[in-house]
Amino acid sequence: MNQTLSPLMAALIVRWFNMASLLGVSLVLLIAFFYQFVMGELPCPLCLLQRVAFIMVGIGFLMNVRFGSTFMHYGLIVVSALAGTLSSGRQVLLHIVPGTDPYGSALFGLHFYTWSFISFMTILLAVGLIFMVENRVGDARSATAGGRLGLWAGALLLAIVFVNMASTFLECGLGACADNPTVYQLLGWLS
Amino acid sequence: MIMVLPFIIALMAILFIMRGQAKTGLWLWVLLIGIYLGWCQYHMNDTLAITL
Repeated sequence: MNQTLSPLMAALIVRWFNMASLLGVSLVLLIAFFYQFVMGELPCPLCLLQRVAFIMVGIGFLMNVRFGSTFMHYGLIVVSALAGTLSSGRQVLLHIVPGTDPYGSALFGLHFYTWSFISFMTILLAVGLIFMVENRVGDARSATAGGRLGLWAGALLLAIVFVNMASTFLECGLGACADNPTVYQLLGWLS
Repeated sequence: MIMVLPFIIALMAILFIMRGQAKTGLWLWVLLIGIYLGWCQYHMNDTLAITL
């Protein structure tokens, strides 16, 4: 591969990888919104922490898209994904014992905390693979930044984080969330 | 533990990154992961019903 991939081509592959990954993280958070707002499933504290971890991963990809890829930005992504495996892995272990009630719906037979764990591991795998291409970028580093499309992808993540912030405030107020939330606390206090 | 706090910090980090202020965004990410780990410690202190 090293003999056939030009620096510019490698930079474009890296650019689209980071852009697609940023949109992928946003898609994961939008699916969580669907189950929260349409299906009426309120996120538990560990679920919210997994969302935070996905957002932290998204921040790393956004930095790659906005400023061009660097090992520092990939470091953010790897550390964030590892942090995500902490909360999702913990929730998998909470419900792994047969007879233990799971939390929330299943998608294709797996619950969302299991999908989270798989997603964080996939992110780590994908970053490992893109490093093989990064090796060829060389002087074309500036072409890894995402331009106008990158700004739109960042704006989408920004909007998603804003909605998460607002819904978490309604659900938990200015304190910790209930372990098994069934109502938006703040809406209950207001009514 | 203020559960909304990490989302506020994340929002600020993304805003700064979008405005081109990479360093501020980076430091906010450092703050964010610190809060995340603190919140994890708070929510993960029950004994698991498994044998490792």
